[in-house]
Amino acid sequence: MSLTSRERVIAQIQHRETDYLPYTIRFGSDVGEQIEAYGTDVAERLDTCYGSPAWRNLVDNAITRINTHSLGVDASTGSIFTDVYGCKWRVDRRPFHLEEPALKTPSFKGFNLPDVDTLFNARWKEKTLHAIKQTPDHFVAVGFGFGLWERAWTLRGFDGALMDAASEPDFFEELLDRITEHQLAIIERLVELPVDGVLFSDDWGYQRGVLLGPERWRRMMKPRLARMYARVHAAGKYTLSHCCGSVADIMPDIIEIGLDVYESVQPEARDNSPYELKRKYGDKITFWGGLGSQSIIPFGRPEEIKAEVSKLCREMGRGGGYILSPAKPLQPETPTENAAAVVEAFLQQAGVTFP
Amino acid sequence: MSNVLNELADKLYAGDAKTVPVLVQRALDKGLTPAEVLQGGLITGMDRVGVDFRNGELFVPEVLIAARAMHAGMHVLRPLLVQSNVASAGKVVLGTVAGDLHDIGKNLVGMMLEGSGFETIDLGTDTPPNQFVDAVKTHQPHLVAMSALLTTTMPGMRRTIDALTEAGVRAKVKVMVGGAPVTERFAQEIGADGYAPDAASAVELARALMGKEHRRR
Repeated sequence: MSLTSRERVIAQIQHRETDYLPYTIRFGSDVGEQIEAYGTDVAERLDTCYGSPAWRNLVDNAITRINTHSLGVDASTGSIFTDVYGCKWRVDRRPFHLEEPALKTPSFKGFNLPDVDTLFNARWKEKTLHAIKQTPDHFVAVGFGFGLWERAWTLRGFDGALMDAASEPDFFEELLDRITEHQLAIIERLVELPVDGVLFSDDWGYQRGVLLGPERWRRMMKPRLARMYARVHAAGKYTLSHCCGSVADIMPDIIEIGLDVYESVQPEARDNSPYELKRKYGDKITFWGGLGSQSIIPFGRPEEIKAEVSKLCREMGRGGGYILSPAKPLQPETPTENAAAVVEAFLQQAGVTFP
Repeated sequence: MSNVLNELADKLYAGDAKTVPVLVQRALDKGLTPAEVLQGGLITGMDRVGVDFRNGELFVPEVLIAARAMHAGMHVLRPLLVQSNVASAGKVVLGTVAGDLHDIGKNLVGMMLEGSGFETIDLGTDTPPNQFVDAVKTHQPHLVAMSALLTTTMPGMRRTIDALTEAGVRAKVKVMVGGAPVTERFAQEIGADGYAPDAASAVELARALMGKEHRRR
């Protein structure tokens, strides 16, 4: 009997090979489904390319992401808004960005993180349960948006948080402690849900390495993240984390604190080749992503994309521990024929005959 | 080298924004010229930051606090440098190209360049080609530095170079490019003079391009 997508993902996480690789493809901007102001949607161009939207029904995203309250960005309220944390955002331009952090100086004077109860309004559970029920055969990962590092920089500004980490370590560690308690309280609510995993979003890396530096990351981030991951595991759920950029330097640490699935695996970032990471750590963690969004998807030829997908399936899929995906959602600038190559190659490896 | 300059370089390296301006003043009070304080203290410290950043011994937080300390030191020193007509290492117009609002990488390059004695004119983000052209005409820089963080805005670099050519000012400047998705090959394809993968390398590139510039002028 054939596996469900959910069973396929779980088998991969348990490092068992499956009939074909579970996969995900997302379309649109980085920000997720809420913001679609960035030009023609790739999926709509594919509708035109294939003569109808019927192809969409063939795509079986193995992992359903459910975002709860605190993604922090809501384009419906206009181009600029202030979130419940007190951060002012601008969302009509690319990338959506922080206009003004909640904390202008490294001080907590007059500041408290919002009460977690107020973040989850009366209907959130009902709505979330409803969303979970829509895809019973999929692996469901519930996320809460900005992770530990992300929340820290949104509260202090990107430069501010980086500088605090170096020059105001006491303040910064207290900030991280407060965020950790806050996010543990959020996780407490999420693990009550009938989901398979909790999806963290925390961009520790940039193109060249770990933003804070590996040692500082180990000192400041690792023990706090370990507590969050442990809570998720205690509830019998998997931990997944998005992180684009280069995290090769801290991969052993990420594994040590119990991350089950590392999402994005951006191959263009320094030392972040999925094949190299697989060789070193493939039996200890599951990679989700790896098809390059900075190079091959926008600039490659369709046949190169198809060849790379075959290579990912062959090499990354060996021994399990892999979920096929572009490193980022297909961006608006993706040429239609390249987007089609991604979709077709993904479906082909799944044995789906394409019209 | 004088002790105060050594100490100044050390404090700059450590990102001590409180002490750096005090030491700048002390060095001046001891009779050192503004140029000596800049070169022997601030730039020496910042060069060490750049080398150690590139070698993976320092990270973005250290670079940012060093740049903040540099800024504090320059606040004291800049008026005196202007007064005494000290030439900068070179003049750079920099900006993130049209359609792209990313500014952290570009700011980091700007800070490192300033920390290395360059004069920078920052056009900000979302900078259309004609704004680069106007800035080149107005400021007559040696270098134009462009940043792009989106694969969709990278072609803005080519358009800017083309616009500089059309305006007849391309030969007057060296063009350098950078940003996460940008590569050496792309830089060559669009006719840029150089590509740097990080802020420290950008300083070295700027210095190398200035060397060529001097030989040419």
